[in-house]
Amino acid sequence: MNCNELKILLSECESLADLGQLPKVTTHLKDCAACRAALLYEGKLRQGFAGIAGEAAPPDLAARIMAIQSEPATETAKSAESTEPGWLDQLLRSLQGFPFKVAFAAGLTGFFAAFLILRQPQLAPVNEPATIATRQKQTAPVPAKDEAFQLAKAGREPTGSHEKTLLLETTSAKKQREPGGDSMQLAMAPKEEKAVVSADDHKIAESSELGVAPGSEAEADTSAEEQIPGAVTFALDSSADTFVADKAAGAAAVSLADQPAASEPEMQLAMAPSPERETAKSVRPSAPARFAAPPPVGETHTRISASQIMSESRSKKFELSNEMFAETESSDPLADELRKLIEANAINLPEGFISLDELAMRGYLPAEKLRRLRPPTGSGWYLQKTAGQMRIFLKKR
Amino acid sequence: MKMTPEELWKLAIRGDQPAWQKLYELFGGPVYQFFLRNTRNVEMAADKTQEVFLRIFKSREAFGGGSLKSWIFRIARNLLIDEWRRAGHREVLSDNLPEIADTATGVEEEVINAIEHAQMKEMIDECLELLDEDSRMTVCLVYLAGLSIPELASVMEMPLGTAKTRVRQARLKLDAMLCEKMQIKRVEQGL
Repeated sequence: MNCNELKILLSECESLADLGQLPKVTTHLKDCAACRAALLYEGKLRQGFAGIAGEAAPPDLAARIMAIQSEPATETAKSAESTEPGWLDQLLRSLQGFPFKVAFAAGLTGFFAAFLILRQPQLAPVNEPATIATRQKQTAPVPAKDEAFQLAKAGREPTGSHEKTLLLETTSAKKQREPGGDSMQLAMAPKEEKAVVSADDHKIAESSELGVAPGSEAEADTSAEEQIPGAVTFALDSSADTFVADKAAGAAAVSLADQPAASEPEMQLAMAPSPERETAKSVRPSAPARFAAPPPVGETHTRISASQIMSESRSKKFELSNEMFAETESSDPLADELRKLIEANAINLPEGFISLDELAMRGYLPAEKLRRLRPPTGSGWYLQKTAGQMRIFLKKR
Repeated sequence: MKMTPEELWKLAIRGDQPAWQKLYELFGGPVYQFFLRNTRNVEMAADKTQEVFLRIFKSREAFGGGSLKSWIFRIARNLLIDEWRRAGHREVLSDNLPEIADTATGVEEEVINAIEHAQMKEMIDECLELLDEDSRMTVCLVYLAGLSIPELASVMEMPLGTAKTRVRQARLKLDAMLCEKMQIKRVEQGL
């Protein structure tokens, strides 16, 4: 062993006593005074460091460090008790699944969005309510199996009390409608208006009993209202938290929903373009107004709940159906003309759309009459045979 | 029966106070001196020592075996570096130290024999103060804390060869300083 190897050993060994026991080291140390001095120096140095490391720390440090073990032990025990997962923690932990959180957040956002949208009050008065779906003007159809309809068609005296009531309602509705008032409007009116209207009913009834004509300012106002048939506007009644329908549209909507199949002529008329409808109206001056009129300009719409509308309109159903039947019976003069033409010529036509071109080709319709009877585009004259009676009305193809 | 530090530790974390006290007796002094020699502040050294024991107890589950001494002094070293950084007089420890020439001390055997233990302690303390921070910390970890070279490499998170180089260079600096002091002492004592 040489001096360098001994220096390396000295720097790396952990125990000088063990190093001194090695034979090759002792052999080298016997002959090398420098290495003996280096070994001695190393020993002194390590003793010095050991002496420094063994110097006492401040007395309070031991107490502070001993307290570390006891304090956290109680704290950890307390925290272990306090961190017992409660039902809320468990619930929140269960909600930590990412897809569930996303779905939950989306649902919550959607709910609040819908809530805010529906709760938003409609500030501006709705003068022109939106029409349903196609913006085509629609009529309130009359059910064919309607009780009042059947009674009216049968033309017999009501026997039961119910039938009498129906008849009374029908006559009452007619009386209301005649001076310009609108039964649809009445049906759709809110409670306050209904109270007024019911008072008017009494007046009408009384006046009819007394033989006095029931003309009033209210009726004149109503007749002056601009009417947009088929318009249905839904809004939220903030007090009742229910949808309310515009009074002008509610009855039509309810009637459309309730009686889908029995008022084909009314539907045809309603779906016809406005010029033709005006023509039809002028041709039928006696035809009653079919749709509720919107409120006059500047008047805020009174809103009633949809449930109210439903119940009230159901109670007026028989009046409406009877009224519509009367209108159907009066019907379009063009339809009457066509019906008379068919009956006069004893043309046996099947139930369905009538081909005017075919009638013209067969010589029943002159060109001038064909042009006059030509139905509007998209619709046609429909022949319906009910109980041996022939009905012709415009129907959308 | 003498227990290893790791065995004492297992008992201490279960609430065994004597084991915890024994651990303090084993490591409290070296840790305190490690901080004291590197900071030269008694209060700070005591606070840092307490912080080391607090940390090891709080993160007792983080100790996954190995050398308890290495774990304790790794925490101590990190606390010291944090303190240096907070004080702003040190950036990071340099990995590449300049090579120092090995100058033989040349101190005679009788001169060394003549130096008493107390004198040696005083000289070491003076030399440590003169050492640069890297060398001082390395010397303290090896000679004060009693870490082996592999343990030092683990504590300082560096390769074993780098740890050896660091120790060697730190020792050369320290030896040069000590020899100079001993020569001065020999002249003073007329040896």
